[in-house]
Amino acid sequence: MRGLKLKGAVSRASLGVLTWLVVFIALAPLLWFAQIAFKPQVLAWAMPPKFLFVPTFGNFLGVFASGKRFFDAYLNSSIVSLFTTALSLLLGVMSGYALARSDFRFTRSMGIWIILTRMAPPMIFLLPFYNMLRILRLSGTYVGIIITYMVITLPFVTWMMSSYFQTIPEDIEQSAMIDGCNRLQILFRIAVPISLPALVTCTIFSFIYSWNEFLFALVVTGRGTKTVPIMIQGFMSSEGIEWGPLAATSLMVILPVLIVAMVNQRGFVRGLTSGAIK
Amino acid sequence: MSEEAFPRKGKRARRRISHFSQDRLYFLILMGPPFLIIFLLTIVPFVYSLLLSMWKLNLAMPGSERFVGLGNYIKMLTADYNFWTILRNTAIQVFGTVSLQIVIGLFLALLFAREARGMRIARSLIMVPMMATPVVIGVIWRFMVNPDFGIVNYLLSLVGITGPDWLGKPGLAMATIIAADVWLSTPFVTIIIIAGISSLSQEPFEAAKVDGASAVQAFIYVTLPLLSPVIWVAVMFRLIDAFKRFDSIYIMTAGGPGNATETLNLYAYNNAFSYLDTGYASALAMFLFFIIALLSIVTIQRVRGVSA
Repeated sequence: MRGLKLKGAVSRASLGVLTWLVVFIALAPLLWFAQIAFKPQVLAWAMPPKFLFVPTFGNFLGVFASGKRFFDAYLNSSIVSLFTTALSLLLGVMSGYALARSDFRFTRSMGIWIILTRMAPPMIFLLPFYNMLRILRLSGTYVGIIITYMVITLPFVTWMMSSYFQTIPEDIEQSAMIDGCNRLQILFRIAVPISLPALVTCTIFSFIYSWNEFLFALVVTGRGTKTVPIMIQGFMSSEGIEWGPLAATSLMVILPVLIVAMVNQRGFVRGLTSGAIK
Repeated sequence: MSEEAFPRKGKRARRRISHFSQDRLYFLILMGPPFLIIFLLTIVPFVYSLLLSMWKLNLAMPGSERFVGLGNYIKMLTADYNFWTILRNTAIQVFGTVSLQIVIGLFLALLFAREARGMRIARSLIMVPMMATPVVIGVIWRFMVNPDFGIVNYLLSLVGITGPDWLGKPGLAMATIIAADVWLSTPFVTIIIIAGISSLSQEPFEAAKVDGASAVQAFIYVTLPLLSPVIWVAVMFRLIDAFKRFDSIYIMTAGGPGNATETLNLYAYNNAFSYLDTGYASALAMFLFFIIALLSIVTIQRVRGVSA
């Protein structure tokens, strides 16, 4: 019996070691890249790599000093992400609620349509958008980028909010209706405030999506509206990649996303797996 | 709408009707603008793409526009000999990543679903890479496998192996592309399966134990069948995203060397924005959509079939 217990403890311990080994493998590339950002320029190329060094902010300062390109991209990405998120949330809450509560016949087909947009490769939207934005003289503008991103975020928010609203019992809303509230009041005074978890998920998803998006950005951003992923790609295609500053920039690019996601880990997971787990 | 809230008789019935239609009006106000926008954003481009795919439309050759019907699709399947290479690359990339992710993800789920100290933190940490900007992930991988100063070849040199130029040789480049996404997205599968595990009841496992099943037997005959709906859901999501994958491939190899890692998605992009062959690019995109939709429907059917 004691032997069995010991065996159990040993196997538990080895599973623990294995678990944290996996965690290490998941994080190692990021950590390795992060230490390059703090490495003095001369050591960045050193072979064998030196892991013991005096950390420096030289690469970060270099990025700041080299000026506008970084700050512009950062500002562009912030503007695009914030507006995409706000607009998708406002419109998505409205349509999600209507989808959850109304008995129009086409609401069901709307659900199927939203799933189809999840499957559609971005290229299906990209060419038409490229042409449409050009005709509307919106190519390269913030408005153009935000509209393009809403192709993905708006159906997502609609779907997510609608499935959350469906879980709210209708009794509350009916008693409010007897008290003379109309649908708009019910939505914004009753349904929205109790749907905070879903709203958080939608915010996180929309923000991370618009911050990280690359393929649409390649085509619809203009000279003055380049977002951060495009800036990073610019680093890669220029001759003689400067890895130190590139690492420093990359680190600053993924930081806001990590903060947003970490603040509400559960929201992030729910966003990733929405529809998968009921 | 509950009956007692709106009594039926007389005047009240009329009030009910007016109240009711007023309610419908509010619904129309609520969904009018968003649905109009969704319509403009998705259905219009979709139809536009479909129409484009039936035209010969090359921006590099102005004046050559003409309606060709299914001509682009016929060209794709019969005249474009690159297409089959691209299709092969896509199949290898998609099925390589997804199958590895499902197998590894399942085992990681068993590992990470345990209740032990620090497990919640561990589960959070393995998802950190998934949040990071995909372009940055591509940069990191390109840096890691760099033959001159990358960490991968350095670690190999410690055990006496001279590492190859990972992204420079066709087969290796594809393997590296696959490895990058296996590293990145396997935790997604893990998290979905963990959610599935936590919703399972304990009874079948206890029954299996009582019947004297070994751990492996219990896994194969009890755990796997119970988890299969969840696993199929994970397969579907991973299939869709693997077909749609663009950013990290574009940054790591841009489809190279030659076109060894060029997938359908990249090929459609290049046709549209490098060769400016708009019509053909649309046909490729529609074809890709068709494949994704087909495979999704097949996997959804599996989910339903299993859970029913």
